[in-house]
Amino acid sequence: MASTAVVSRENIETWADDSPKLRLFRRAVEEMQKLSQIAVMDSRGYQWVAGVHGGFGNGAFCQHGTAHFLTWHRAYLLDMELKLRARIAEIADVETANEWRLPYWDWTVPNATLPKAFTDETYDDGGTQRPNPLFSQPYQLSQQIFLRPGVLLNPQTPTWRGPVVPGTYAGLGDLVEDALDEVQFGTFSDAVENPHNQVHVRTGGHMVTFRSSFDPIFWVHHANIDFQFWQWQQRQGGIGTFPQAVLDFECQPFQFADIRASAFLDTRTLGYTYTTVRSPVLDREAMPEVEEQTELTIRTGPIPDEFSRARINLHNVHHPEGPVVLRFFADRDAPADASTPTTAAERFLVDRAVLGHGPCPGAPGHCDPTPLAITGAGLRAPHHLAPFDIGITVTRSFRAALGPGPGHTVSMIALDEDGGQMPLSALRFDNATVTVT
Amino acid sequence: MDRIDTGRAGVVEFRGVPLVEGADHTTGAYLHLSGLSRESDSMLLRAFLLVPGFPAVEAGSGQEHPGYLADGAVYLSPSGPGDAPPGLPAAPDQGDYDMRLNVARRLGALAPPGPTVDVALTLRDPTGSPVDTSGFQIGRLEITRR
Repeated sequence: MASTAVVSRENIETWADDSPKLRLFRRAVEEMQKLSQIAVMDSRGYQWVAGVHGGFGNGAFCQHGTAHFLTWHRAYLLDMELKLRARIAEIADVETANEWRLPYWDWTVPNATLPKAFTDETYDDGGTQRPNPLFSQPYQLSQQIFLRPGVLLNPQTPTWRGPVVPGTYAGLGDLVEDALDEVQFGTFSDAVENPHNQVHVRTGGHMVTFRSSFDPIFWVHHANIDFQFWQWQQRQGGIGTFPQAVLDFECQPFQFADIRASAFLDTRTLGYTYTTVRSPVLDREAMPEVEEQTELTIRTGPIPDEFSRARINLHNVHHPEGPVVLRFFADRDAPADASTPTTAAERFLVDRAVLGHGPCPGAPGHCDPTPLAITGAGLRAPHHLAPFDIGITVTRSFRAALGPGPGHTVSMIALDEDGGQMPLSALRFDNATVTVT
Repeated sequence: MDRIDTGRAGVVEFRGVPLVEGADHTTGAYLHLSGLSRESDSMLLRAFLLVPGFPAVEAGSGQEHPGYLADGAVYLSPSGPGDAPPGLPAAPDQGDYDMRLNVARRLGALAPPGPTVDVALTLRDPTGSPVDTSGFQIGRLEITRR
């Protein structure tokens, strides 16, 4: 499964109508379908790859409503991506194919609708108008498709969608936002599957059925789910967080050397990643100076106009003895303090409480997290006061609070449990970042 | 938990749905739908809390209904095992279908007392038309709250 390069999967909305990557996507889908026209069961062809999800007989390989939803679909997208790249290598060259990855469709942004690349019925191919292969594809397998009881889709009907208007996907971004904060893999997977389901059903047509993969929009929809899975992994996804049954699950029927789900967790070994704008603001050496302050100001780098997720990260946080409430604001002209109202007008972002560990109940040394105790030396659980990371998702409030200009600031103050202001030394941490994806 | 098929098109009610406190998830509250039959079709779901004095839930009840909890969708893959082309294994049996709806934004505002609540679900196809509730088979409903 080793790939020649690690390349970012990109937002389809950043691909212009005439972008070479979009043209290659269209041409590769056309070529895959041509293979199916010659032999419908050619595993390099569009019909076969789409059929894996749910087209062969009455069963389906796709995983839904199970713990394998995210990992199985990651393997499925990789299979499709590699087959598209194989066609691109023929259309262009190997180097071009090595730089091409599936794009994703971010339906979590406000007023999301179907990407234009998938709704135009034709496209301009060097001055010639051609049918847009991303608008619709044939369904050529022999099995019938029922849209609902008694309502049969003609097996030979090309894929179609229902009416999609602005607002069709409203509210889904909030569900994803909450899901990304979940710590347990199973909870995250279940929570993110609901907005996934709603995109299928709200899009209509073939997307409602488990033959949805014949509609090309399927691939960029699921790339967005994979993007969300990747985002969750950046914060929570160490291998220890996955149940063993999930790691050992065999993703059938793919022809990779190792089809256990554990082989699909690190996307870099699969040849792709996603783009993150990360703004480091402090380093360990700067912390003593900061600790004397009552307000920390984080200066971000340029933030794009359109973004999917914004997160404030505190790294290597030391457990405080007493509770600390962290309060964040953005782009303030004046310093914030405990009396600053937590309103949108004041550019308030979020509060996050950090529980204190209280006085040590043990003998001297019990609560001293020595380096050996922190790691557990691989034999036991890490020390109960081992430093930890805090990630706070602030997408909605960040969008609302940002002022004009590419560079921004996030300010943080610390409060005690009664709302009184504390020096920042109440909470020790090594670094703070703002991450925008 | 008792299921009541109301006779109103696309509306099914559940009385005595457990409300479990102290869950370890981050989101405030989830409505769990466990043991869904894969014989169901894909459909749009809308969940409501049944509270005395609130208007009855109808298939067309929307987010403005005072008992509104959450929107969701069932997107089903069949249970398998199914037949497969030569050279491929049979599709695996996936068992029943579990899902959860995030109800945190509304449940807190409604603040239901007691260890159980009553819940109504509306079932609609992608066009918004009510779905026959008799085909909607479910093992268990439960709300967990952090």
